Amino acid sequence: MQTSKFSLVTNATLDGKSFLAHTLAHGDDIGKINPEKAEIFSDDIAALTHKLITMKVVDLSDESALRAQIQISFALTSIGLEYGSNGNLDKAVRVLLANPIVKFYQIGNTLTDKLLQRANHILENACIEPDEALTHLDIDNIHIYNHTEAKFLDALSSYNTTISNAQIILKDSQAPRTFTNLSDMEIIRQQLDYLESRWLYVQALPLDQVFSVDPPFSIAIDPIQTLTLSLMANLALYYEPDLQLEPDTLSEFHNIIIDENSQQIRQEPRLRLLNWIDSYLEQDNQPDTVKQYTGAYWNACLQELINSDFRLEIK
Amino acid sequence: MSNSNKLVIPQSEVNKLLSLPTREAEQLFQSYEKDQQLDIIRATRNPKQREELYYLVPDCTELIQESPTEDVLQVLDTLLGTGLACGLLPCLSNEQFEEIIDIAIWNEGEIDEKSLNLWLYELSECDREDLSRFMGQMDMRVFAALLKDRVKLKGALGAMLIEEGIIDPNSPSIECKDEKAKAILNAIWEADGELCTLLMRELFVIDKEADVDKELVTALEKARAERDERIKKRDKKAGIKVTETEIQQKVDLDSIELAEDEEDNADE
Repeated sequence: MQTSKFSLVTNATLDGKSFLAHTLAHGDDIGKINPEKAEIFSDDIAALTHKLITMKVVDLSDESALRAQIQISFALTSIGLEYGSNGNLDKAVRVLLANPIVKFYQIGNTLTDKLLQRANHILENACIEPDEALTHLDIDNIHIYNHTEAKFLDALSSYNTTISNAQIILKDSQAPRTFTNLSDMEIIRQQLDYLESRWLYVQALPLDQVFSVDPPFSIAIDPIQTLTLSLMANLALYYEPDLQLEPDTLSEFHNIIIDENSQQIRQEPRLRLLNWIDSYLEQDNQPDTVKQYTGAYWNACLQELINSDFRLEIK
Repeated sequence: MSNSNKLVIPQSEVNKLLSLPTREAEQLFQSYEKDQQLDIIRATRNPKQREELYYLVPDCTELIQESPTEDVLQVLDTLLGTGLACGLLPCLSNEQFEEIIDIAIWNEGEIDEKSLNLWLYELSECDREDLSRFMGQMDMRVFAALLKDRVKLKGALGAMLIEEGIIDPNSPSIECKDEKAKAILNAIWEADGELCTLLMRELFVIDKEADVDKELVTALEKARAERDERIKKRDKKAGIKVTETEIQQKVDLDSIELAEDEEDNADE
């Protein structure tokens, strides 16, 4: 589909993989959307996009901002149509024919706006802050997300995603791309759920001494993973939920938790640790979602122990 | 066959024109009919290149005034902050200027102060005559909202002096909190003294028995409503049915009711 009537949207093309493009093609196949109707849709989407550009793009000479806004407009309309039709192409054709195009944009925009607000809230607030009594020491906050996760949260504010599946701990990210389908939204929602659960898990921990740990967690590549492994090491070795890692503690913890021969996590100490955190969160009345996530998170952290990078980070 | 009768393929013509030496490009471009020139300009999506095309005629006023406003704004946006936009600004018609300001200084229904400052800077670089013409097209209530926290009136006599029209922005009764605010007031004063007095009356809510801040907020809301109305009319004329309010509207995701094409349902 190409649009030509509105100058700011000239030559913009609809992503052939989007649900909207599939709906138009399906409508054509079943004889419900003839070329004349397709042209009307094309003009309506162009008009909507043109309007959005004049409302939101401050500098019209910024071609990348124009391209981004065009993509967002097309994507949100497509996501709205997919949501409104439950992903059913026959229904999508019927609702597309009977409703103004802006209706689908509104649905897509409402859906994404909710996720964007959650992402922004996490990005700005999800950290451990030092007690007021420590403010004079100029101590950095400890973020509950790592750098890759921060990039993911930040990209969302530009309607971009950097992931193709949700992960307990985000380690790798892709180049930012506009989210175009409901499945993208579902993945983003799941990832935000994970981060929110981690935030609740961290808040539930005994954090009294968290800012007196040396070196400080705030300088770690992944502060919460480092904090969690420190806690696990102290629990495994000294049966104390302490956060300070003594010089030999980590290597001794390695010996306990990793089977040298198979380079696998030993089941018995692993289960003991998982039971401890599960009971701890149970006593703290944390919801099942948080307990489930935390179990998976502790497993993921233990798995990271096999990765030599973590040893280097601690040293 | 002269160029005015020749079939011109705008896109290929653009590349040709921009690769020629200036003199030859001018000759070639000026050999086309105005409609052909406009087609070539419209086909050029890069605003910097479009600006170059406007300069290929001795006076581009007509070409600017017959170009889509957003396209002209795109060109002007490449020049904002450089002081060079004043070369093209006088070519705008009053209606076009009003339309441009309605788009440029508002962002999602709110005044974009950064943008307004940039525009005022560009305008202050224009001839006073042009500036005066443009100021007449701008809503003083918007200026008042922009300047309300940046300009203060000192002393009991100030209001009276404004009332009498015998005060200028350099008077000790007027205190500007930053140089930009002072430059803006000065530019308006130099362009049109009466307009500046009107602005100061608006700014300090003289003759109105109301709280200054409240009055300015109400005035800005009225300015916004009038601007929205103008936009609606223009959009209708351009075939745009969707409104800004509709675009900003959120829906209840739990109770979405979408109509379905009846003809298709009947088939089922």
